Amino acid sequence: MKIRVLLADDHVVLREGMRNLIEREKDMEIVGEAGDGEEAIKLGTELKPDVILMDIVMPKVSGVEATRLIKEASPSSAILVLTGYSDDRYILGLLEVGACGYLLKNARGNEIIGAIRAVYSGESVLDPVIVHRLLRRASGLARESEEVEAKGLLSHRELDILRLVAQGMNNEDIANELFLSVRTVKAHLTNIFNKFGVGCRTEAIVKGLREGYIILEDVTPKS
Amino acid sequence: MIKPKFELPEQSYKYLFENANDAMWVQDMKGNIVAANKACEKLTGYTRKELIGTNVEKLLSKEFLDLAREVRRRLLGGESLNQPYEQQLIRKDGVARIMKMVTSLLIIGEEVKNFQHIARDVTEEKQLQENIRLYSQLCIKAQERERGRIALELHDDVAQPLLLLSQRLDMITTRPRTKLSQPFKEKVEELHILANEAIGRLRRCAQDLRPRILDDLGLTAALEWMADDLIKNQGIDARVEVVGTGQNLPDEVQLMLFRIVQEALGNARRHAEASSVWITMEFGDGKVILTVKDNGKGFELPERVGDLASTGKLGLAGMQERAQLIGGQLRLQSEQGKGTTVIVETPI
Repeated sequence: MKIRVLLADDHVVLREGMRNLIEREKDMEIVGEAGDGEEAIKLGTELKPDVILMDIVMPKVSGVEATRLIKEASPSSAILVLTGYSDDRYILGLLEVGACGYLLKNARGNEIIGAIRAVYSGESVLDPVIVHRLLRRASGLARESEEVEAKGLLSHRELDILRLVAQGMNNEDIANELFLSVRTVKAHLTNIFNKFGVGCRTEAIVKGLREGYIILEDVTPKS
Repeated sequence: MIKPKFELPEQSYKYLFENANDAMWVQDMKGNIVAANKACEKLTGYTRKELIGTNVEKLLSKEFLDLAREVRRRLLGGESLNQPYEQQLIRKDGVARIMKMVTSLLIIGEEVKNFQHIARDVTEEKQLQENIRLYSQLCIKAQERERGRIALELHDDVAQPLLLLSQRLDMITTRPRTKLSQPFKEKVEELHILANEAIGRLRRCAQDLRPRILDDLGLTAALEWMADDLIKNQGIDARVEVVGTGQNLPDEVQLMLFRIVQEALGNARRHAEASSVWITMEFGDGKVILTVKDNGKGFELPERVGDLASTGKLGLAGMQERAQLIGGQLRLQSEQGKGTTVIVETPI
């Protein structure tokens, strides 16, 4: 099965370049292209793509607002935001509205392809420092959250994996730690994502933290 | 008994009274005018004949009659009164004029007999001041619009061909099935790096004019972003606290509050040499209160906020104008060696 990608950018020529790049990959396909925020929301909701590349400055509705709305309708889509800025606080804000990661607009072709593949297979596409800051903020909100605790949704094994994910381990490390194959770890992750209704690794940790599956101490990387 | 060296003859008081450039009049305890000078005729439009025996009520509107009564109460009660104070007078032709006034008691023997007023017409100056204020607010608005427009054009218009250039150069070197010589590849790679450098500079330029984070993520994120910068690049400990639900403020309010904080933080860093700053945004009943506090050198405040510009504190005056633009009020607290606090209160 191919990774289904939606492109949302108001600059036709740039979008074309991006499409050529992605269509060269055998495991990816472009399922739609949006030229403004409104179209992005419509296509994102209808097509429920695996990965969305989303520009921020777009006519009608901004990429930030579009991200927020698409995540409501299609929570399992992973959104990678195309941006000119990578300051921590800026990226943090994008993650908080539901993005899974970001790509600089002048990122190299192989970086773009790499990020799409990584986010799809549940790998992290973010600097651990940012992830940790995001989680600290999310845990501050957790206490105020009225959400009913949904403990018991995950199996023991899935819970173990989520904890290791939270510590910043990649799939290979987790496989070694738990004496599993990387394939099995990936399969477990997909299950966790589906049960949580999220699209990527970071979202899974945030959700796990908010709903009490893990606590902030689990997240603090062990040195 | 020591005799005073010089005593003003009564005659000269009368001369001063009559020929003073400021309007002067004396009224009895009931408010009836008993004496008025030439300048008073000019100020009020009434002749002296008409003025004598007239009650001052006739010259004041309701609101300003209350003010006159308050002045009277304070003077008779021995309470403090900031003089000169501003009062409004209705001329004979019905036109309202603004006066700067000084009022004193005339005591004869042990008894308070009369009130004496000295008034100067400041209507034109006030009008001029108000015009300057409106003009400077228009300038601020125009400047922000211009900055916003240029930043967007740089970001959206000028950056696009550069981004395309970068994308194409990257494709040349990575396209499969094209055989390129190593030196040629290196040359293209060099160009790719150059294109990216141009993009980077362009973005910094746009960012300085108007940071994207404010438009994309709102004021709270933008405040924390500025705090991050102080911590990382200036070695200043900066904290942001938001109290209450962060409602969505209108764009213009966010922008003006952002600029005020930006200026306050700039002052804390450049002039006050502060090592810590605290930014607090408090959402209250129909208002938002934003506070920027530092532990820097502090300074001596002018008596009135309106005097900021004339005492060389132009940045602070700009903050004041921006606060007024969104219907807010700016307060400053500062003391030599004890840090500075800037407080903006804005209705929402």
